[in-house]
Amino acid sequence: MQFQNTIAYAQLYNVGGEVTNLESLAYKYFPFPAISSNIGTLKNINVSSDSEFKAYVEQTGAYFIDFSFIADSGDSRQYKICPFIDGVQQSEALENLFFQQPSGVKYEVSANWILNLTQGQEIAIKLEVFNIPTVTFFARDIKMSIFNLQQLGIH
Amino acid sequence: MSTNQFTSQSAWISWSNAIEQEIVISEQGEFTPLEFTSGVVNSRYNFLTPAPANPQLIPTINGVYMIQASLTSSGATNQLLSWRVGYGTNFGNENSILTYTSKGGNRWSVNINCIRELYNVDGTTGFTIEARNNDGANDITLERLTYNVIKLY
Repeated sequence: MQFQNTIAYAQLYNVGGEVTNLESLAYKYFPFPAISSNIGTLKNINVSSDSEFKAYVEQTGAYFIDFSFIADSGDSRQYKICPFIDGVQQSEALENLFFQQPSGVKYEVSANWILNLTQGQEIAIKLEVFNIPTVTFFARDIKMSIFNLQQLGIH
Repeated sequence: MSTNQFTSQSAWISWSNAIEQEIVISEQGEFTPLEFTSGVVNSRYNFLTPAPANPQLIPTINGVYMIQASLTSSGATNQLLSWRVGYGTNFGNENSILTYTSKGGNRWSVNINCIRELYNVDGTTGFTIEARNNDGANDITLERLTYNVIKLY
């Protein structure tokens, strides 16, 4: 693996809203697109135009990935998020778990990872609920910042 | 992995612990170190290859490092918990700790980060994380932890 002589980074966001695709014990994409109108900044990373929050890297490298959102309602349920590469969960150890209080609270959830990605691979942070909530779950203000650590000139 | 061409080398490591690790609190108000006895390395550059024994996150070159730790805890119901991260036994300012209530003993997702200047990397000292129960001696369940360190300079 070589260091790149170009840089790669992106900041993606979405206002989010009601999460409509939840299933018990099944990881799902955040059902909001990372289309061009939701891009804060982007270089050598591509986004999808379909209704899923994910990105594609143009460079092989080690990427720092920070992901955050506001979990709203979906009361009294356990949730977890985890990075997936090309749709494959790398390890349960990469999960981040949280519990939504039974009071409709808004709770900031964030986590970060460093993952080795290969050119063209898809990176997405997916969401799972243990049991479907009786109260609608919202994911608001979704943000993902990602950059390649293996690039010249940043050290 | 190839090295870069600069004299000032970059470095990073990302480590995730085994799931659901119990942190045994022996005394209220005292920090307990996490034993890095099992886990997975997600990515590594200019850090030593982890050995089975503690510690594991050992840098090889001096520099300025940013620590980013994301974790989920549970247990110690309704008690006030604290975490701190550092290099060896150097945890910096007391105000850099993270404190929150383990409401309901449920799973709480939190983050802690800091920047440390390391001038005396010795090849044996590693980055560390410790937990404290401020309200009692109840144990804390560390559900998940991803510990990232990036050399900034």
